[in-house]
Amino acid sequence: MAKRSASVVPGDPALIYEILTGYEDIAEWMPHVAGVKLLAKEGDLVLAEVRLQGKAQVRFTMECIHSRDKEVVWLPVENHIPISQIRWELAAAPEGHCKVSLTVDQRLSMARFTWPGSRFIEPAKWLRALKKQISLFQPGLVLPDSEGERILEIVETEEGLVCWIRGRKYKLVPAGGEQTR
Amino acid sequence: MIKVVFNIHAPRQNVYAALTDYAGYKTWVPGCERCEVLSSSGNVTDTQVVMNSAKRMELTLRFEAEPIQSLHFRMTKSRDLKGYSGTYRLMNAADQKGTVVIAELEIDAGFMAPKFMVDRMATKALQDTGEALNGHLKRTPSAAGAASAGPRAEKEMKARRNKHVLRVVKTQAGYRVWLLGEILDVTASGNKIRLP
Repeated sequence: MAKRSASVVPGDPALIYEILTGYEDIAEWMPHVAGVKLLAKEGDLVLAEVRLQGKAQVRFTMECIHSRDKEVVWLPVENHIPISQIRWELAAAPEGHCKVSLTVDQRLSMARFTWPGSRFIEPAKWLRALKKQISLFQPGLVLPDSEGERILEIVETEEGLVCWIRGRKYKLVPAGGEQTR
Repeated sequence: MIKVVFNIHAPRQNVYAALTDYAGYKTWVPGCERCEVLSSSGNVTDTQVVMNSAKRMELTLRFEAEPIQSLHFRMTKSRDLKGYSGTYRLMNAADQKGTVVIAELEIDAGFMAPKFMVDRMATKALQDTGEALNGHLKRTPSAAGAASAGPRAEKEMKARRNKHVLRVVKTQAGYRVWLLGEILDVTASGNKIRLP
């Protein structure tokens, strides 16, 4: 038994692949995920521990298998998890877009009714969240109906957190650290 | 198929050495009464194993090792079980402080034993094996040490993409705020915010 959803999103498959395999940042965008800890990584295989939000403090381990820019498969290890696999398929679409197809295969078991994480299995919601996360990485961020003066902008770059105030660039440093301008 | 992941606080080489020291199983594998090597050729080893936990069982197991990567085993003969096979896969822990083992086990005990019960016992057996392996390696530190810990965990050095956090644009109607993918409009009076 599977739950499916698909969407065409702006961005190339490489960007979406990077977001899906950036396990340490998944809690930033994936609904109901409180944290992900990378246990091991070798080639296209990753082992990660996922912690869900909520009182139950649900934790489980995922085996993650990647096919660069094409497919990301997450396989829960523990047998009491009613999900057998979560498959993200990526295909380039015209005009710099990407078709993302998401399939969540569920096991036929009583755990579907008893596992506290079951209510979080919402592929359409996960895709909407992914789309929002993709927008953060668009190189030329375009805001609709936003003709006017750019007052303030903050971007995370390789050189750290950078801020532009009325076109003037500043480097942000954590409070307590050395201040630069 | 039962799967269990366990962290072993020892270098990968030591974990592999312990798992392929078949004759030494009786000293640390829970319930292992005897493990005798019958024959060995390259990375393939045939053994005679006697397990005595819930029930005393005698089985012939064939181990096939892929050095420092994995160890596959399958039953070749037994009067007590219809099938017994599995794999130990080794990976360097991401924190560089040991080894992560993915253990898989499939037991077919025949129609007399319900599968859910067999699976529950197998899960417990694998978890106990993980704990026992940790204890065994703590007691017997190997000379192999960290110097030959197998392939190092990968550290990818890739260019970081710019990530937009916030943008505020002054428009004719007021201010348009883009914050982590959401757009908020603030009117000129400054007291009204709406999500388009």
